[in-house]
Amino acid sequence: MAAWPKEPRLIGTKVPRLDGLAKASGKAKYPSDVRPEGTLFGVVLYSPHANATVKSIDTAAAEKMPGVKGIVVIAGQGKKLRFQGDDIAIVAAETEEQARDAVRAIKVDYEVLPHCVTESQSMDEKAPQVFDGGNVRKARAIVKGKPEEALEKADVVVEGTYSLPVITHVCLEPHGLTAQAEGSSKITAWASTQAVTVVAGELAGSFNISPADVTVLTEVMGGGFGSKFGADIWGRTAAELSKKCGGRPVKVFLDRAQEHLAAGNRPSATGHVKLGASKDGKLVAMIAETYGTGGVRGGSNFPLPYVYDLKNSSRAHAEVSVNAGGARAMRAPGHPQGCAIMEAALDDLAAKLGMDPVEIRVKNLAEVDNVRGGRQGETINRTPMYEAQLKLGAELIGWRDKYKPRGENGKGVVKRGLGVALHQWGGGGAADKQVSCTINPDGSVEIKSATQDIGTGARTILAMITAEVLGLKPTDIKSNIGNSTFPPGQSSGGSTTTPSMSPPCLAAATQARAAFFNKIAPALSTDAETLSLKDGQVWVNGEPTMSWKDACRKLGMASISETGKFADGLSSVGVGGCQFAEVEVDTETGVVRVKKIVAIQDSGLIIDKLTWESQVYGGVIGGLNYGLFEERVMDPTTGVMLNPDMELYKLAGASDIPEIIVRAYETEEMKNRGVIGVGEPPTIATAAAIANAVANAIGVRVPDWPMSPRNVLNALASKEGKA
Amino acid sequence: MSKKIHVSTTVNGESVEFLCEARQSLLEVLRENLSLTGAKEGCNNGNCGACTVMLNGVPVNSCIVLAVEVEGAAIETVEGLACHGHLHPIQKCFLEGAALQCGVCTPGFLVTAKALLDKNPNPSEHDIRFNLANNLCRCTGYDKIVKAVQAAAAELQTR
Repeated sequence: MAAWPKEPRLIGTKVPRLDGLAKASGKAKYPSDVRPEGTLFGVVLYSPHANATVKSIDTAAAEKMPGVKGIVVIAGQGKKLRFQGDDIAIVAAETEEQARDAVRAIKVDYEVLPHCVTESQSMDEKAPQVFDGGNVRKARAIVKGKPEEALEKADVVVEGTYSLPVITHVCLEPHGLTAQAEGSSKITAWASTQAVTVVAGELAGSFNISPADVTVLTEVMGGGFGSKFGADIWGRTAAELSKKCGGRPVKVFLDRAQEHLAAGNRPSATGHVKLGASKDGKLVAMIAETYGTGGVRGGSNFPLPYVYDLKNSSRAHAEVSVNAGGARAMRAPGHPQGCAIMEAALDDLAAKLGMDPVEIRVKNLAEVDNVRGGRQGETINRTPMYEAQLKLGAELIGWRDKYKPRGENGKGVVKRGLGVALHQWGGGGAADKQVSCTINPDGSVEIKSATQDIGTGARTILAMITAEVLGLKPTDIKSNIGNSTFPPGQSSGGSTTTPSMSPPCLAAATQARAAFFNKIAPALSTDAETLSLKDGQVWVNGEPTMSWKDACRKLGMASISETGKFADGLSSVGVGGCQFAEVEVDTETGVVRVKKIVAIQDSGLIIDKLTWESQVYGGVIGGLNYGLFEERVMDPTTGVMLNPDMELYKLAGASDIPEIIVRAYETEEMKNRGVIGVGEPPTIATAAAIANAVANAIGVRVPDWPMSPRNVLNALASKEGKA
Repeated sequence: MSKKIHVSTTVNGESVEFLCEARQSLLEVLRENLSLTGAKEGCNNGNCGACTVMLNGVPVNSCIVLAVEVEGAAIETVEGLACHGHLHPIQKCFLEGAALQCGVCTPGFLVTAKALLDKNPNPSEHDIRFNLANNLCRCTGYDKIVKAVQAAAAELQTR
């Protein structure tokens, strides 16, 4: 049975990322940096209107412009354009400026139609239809127990409406790829993607060729957060343009405005919630009616009730379509929304009961909340784990000394408050992934797989595992990923990369070591069973006997190459975490400053403590952004986005960041579960904890995220009856 | 289409001449004409700082500097930070302190930090956060970036 080493040298230590040197020296070639000989630049013409039909399109003048080599029309005559940013055509030219000039020279006659770009616009009975069949699709309520009855019997009930806006991914590197077609039979693409294999499949599909004839390369890339799984229409069109232009590479990367408009977003969420409890704070029922918009794509549903034990609940969700770009997965899809709404309602209930927020949470954890253990069939109860995490988090934020009940945070203008929230996530491994491990006679070792490192540390983790098995340093291993032609690798999403790729990597390295021992044992006049590897040496019967390099020379001309497959017992699924926030709110200006965040996270066995920690810090900053700043602002009158840039679309900078304390909840029990991903969980609870801290500070719930001055001042005004 | 303009400048200590259109940004010329792709295009609007380079010692967003403006100027990019194959202490501290993840914002942070330390070798944490405020990062949470700059300042002081 496959198992992780009992006394690892490398696993669980802090190893700097292997691609860090290239990145820190400016030498790393991102897909948007790659420019093969003869590259043409593609620029997208996109819809300036929220809703329109293309009456006619004329590219004749554009085609004659200097430097223009090809134009592909995506939305021809009669085609519907459903949002600002919808693709119309792509021009390929010798320079970017020439392509932009030509885009401006394309004549489009639009029939501009009425639009709805906000949920309230769209839900109006007289609203124009985004799609035939209505703008609001209401699903039947999911009912558990007898919520109406239980709510009537509840000692205390709170009722509130909470809402989170649409936000966008804002990856620092925009979406796009450079494609080079060899006739109709082969394509090479340098893509900024979270899934080289998915992009290869899509490009193959559009050329009607085998994915084996497509090579997608992603050496490094600049962030995806769930928005970069496909080739997209612009990527497929780049390949088509390359073919059209005699095989010259065509580079299409979006500009920042298009990123906001067309390259994905997180759906909004609004919940009208009734939550009831007995006098002692035990929840008895929840009734929630929710809606959200994923623009023209849907997907706004989210988990609710969330984390806590509710024997009686009813939840009805409505999907609202609007004339805005389609939603895509965004770091823990649905969870930050469900968490924020659940935790806000629970906190309001605690305030009404005069109960301590930590206490009410402990009280409402399910008696049994089982997730998978290390092996198939084994389980772990998450409840005691949450309890331990809450205890640790409360200590680290200084809950006992600092916490005061809601609204009792002094008479001054600036008020301090504390908040807490819990979250959960899955994050297991896929069983069909592979890694190959090659040991060469010159002592070099290379591992290969068609996965990619999107900034998470995947490349480094695979090298660490291999180095652990072969007694080498991580820097001795060439960790070759980001190539779709390599053994099948996992997409970087759902916190599944590490749990999917670590088991086949361990298997490949272990098999390669066994083959290596068999091969060199005769040359060392011993049996393979007597051999071991440590500190760059081959050991015979526990004595260092020969350097790794010298031993590899004994392989003669033939390299050793083994392909490892997934094995059960090395990775698991299902994590929990909690976060605490301390904030300061200026009640005159409405400005919220976060002073401190504590994040406690479990994720099974941690391979690289350094990149693990980075993932949690990054998750927290993402959550802080959702909590304080981020919001897509649509103009109901003109139908356009008002802040499609990186200035008015607010993101935290270095001076907005509080003290952040990150702790791994890594008990022996957790380690025995094996590897679980951590990319998503730590981003879930932050915005919820911040909002609860704000309510604690100012004595009134700010029901709308982000906790911007406007939303905070509105809440304060409503408290004073001025709203 | 306009006539190309001849520009003479210094990039990372070496004399460089290039031809560009009047409308081309310094960032575009660095990346496309000179193949220096260390500076990144994050927003092309002067908001994110990923394209930061030093112009006569001052950090600028190269996406909103016209290439023709750098006639006679000295430009320093991230590629010029390392010396004879040795990383600059700022680079080393970013690397060892895990102050980078996807890495697209990193060149901008490194150049901005270099400009700060050149001017103020002993900055307070507030100075660092204030000076880095024009550089946006979506991955790291900034904490490790600030610590890396502090570590680099300490290392440079001992030299």
